[in-house]
Amino acid sequence: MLALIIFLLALVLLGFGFEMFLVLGLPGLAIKAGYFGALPDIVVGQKIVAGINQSTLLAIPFFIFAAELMASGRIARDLTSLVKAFLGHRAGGIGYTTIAGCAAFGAVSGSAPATVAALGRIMYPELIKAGYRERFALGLIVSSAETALLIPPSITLIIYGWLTGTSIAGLFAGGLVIGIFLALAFGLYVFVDSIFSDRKSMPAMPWGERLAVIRAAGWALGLPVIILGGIYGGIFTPTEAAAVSVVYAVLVEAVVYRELGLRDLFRVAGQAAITNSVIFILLGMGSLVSYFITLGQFPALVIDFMQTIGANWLVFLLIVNVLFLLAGMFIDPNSALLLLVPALYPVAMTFGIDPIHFGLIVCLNICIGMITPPFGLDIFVASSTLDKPVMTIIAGVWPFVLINIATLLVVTYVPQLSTFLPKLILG
Amino acid sequence: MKAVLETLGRVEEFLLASIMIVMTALFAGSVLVRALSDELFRQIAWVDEATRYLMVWMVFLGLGLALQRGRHIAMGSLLERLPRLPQSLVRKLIDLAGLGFSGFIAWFGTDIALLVLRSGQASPTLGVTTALLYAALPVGFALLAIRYLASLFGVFDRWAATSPADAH
Repeated sequence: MLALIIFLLALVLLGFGFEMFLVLGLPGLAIKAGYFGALPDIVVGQKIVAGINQSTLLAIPFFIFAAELMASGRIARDLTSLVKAFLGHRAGGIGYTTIAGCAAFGAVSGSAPATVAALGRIMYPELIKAGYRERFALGLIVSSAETALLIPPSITLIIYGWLTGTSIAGLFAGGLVIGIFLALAFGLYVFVDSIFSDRKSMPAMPWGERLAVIRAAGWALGLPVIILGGIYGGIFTPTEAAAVSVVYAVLVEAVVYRELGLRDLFRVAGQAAITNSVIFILLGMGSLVSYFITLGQFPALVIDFMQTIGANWLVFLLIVNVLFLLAGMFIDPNSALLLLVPALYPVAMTFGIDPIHFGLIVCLNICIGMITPPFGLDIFVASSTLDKPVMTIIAGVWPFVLINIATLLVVTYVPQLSTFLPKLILG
Repeated sequence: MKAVLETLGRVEEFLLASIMIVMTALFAGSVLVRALSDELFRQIAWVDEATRYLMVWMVFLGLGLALQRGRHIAMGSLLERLPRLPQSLVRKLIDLAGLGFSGFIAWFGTDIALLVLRSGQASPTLGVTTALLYAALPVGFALLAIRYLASLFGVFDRWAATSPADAH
């Protein structure tokens, strides 16, 4: 009964737009008072601080800082020109450029909303010029941006790695494969579309111009080289790679482009710090709630339930997908991770599911949640940056949601897709 | 009152930016040191802990400013569609709940920090009291409580600044 009241309280807080840390924190305190009164109060403070004071999580502020440094329109434009030089002249070329540009931007930034904002402004007018309908263009931009969450660096995967003790390097390797797989799935749709309708493309670019474009984008491309090369070359841990990528970003912006002064550095550092606060306070509150989920033996209840209905791993993963899709529709990605992973991960382990495979299923679900109404964050970002009505974007996004769900089913039931590269690289 | 908040915001922003830059320099510096010499690297084993302490302070110090700028994540679609009167009532209710919550954490966070201080618990590699870590909790939530209070009395409009493009 009490549990039901607390659950309803959380739903009311969520529905009426209370800050997410209150949606997690107030019920957290209620659970403490109602069920774990014997625990000393100090535990509450310890759990909140412990959810932040983690070596693994140190990578997040550094990746955010690097991404904010590089978020000046310049890098997004350089990367897009690079992709366009090689894909723009094909049938459906502008569509491919949008997808690959988002994926490339995802390799320097771990945030899907930032990708929507940066690439949307550049690619939307080009897509319309190439003859795509408004809805198709919006749907393509919003959904392609998801690849940023999968392609390393990915803040979602770092948080999952911390929650479950899974290797970040392994998750990043798997995320790279799944991110590219998703991009290819969207690419297939653009390909089919280009057969049935006449899309304009550009004339092929001569090699001399292509080389110039590659040179211009070279500094931007250094970042993924440092991050991936450093981690898999055994030179850096993921956190070290993150810190080094900040130094690289500062050097490129200040010394090469000469666009970053000391005052700008301070401004960007302050912005990055606030973005970081907003994410980490959820991790602090989430770690309090996760602690109660574990203490209340919630995973054991789920295992019992699975045994009662005689579920095998196939059925379990289907249930996981449904739960995450529902959660992703209504709450933000990080809160969904913090609430569901502690409850479901131990169950996944009893079914013998690979931790990296499970992580990528979770991450792909979260991607879909970001483009699904009513609360898909990316839809709102696109609506405000491109000044288009939310309903138009929702109308355009549903074919992509279907493609995404098909991709999710493949990723769920073909574990090798997620695990082959991590196994190949890390043994 | 508004001027006080603005000054407070500027001080916080300066501290936040400084912490972010210092922790990056510390951590990136330690990578460089490790490349040079393992012996030297062992001597700076405290860097990881120092960076984490700085991060914890950065997170809590940023809470108030994030609220003032409408940056905290909330699922606000329903709230935005409410008619004027119920909307402003719900907003006041959120401010009140936020004030209660952050005030409560600030108050009992102070207890925790004092308790840890008296216990004499020291951090493993820095050798400072861990109360230094826990003190960030009451300080940050007190700064947040001030913002909720100011918003409750309409000193600033934190919803006017909200933009989904800021939410990462």
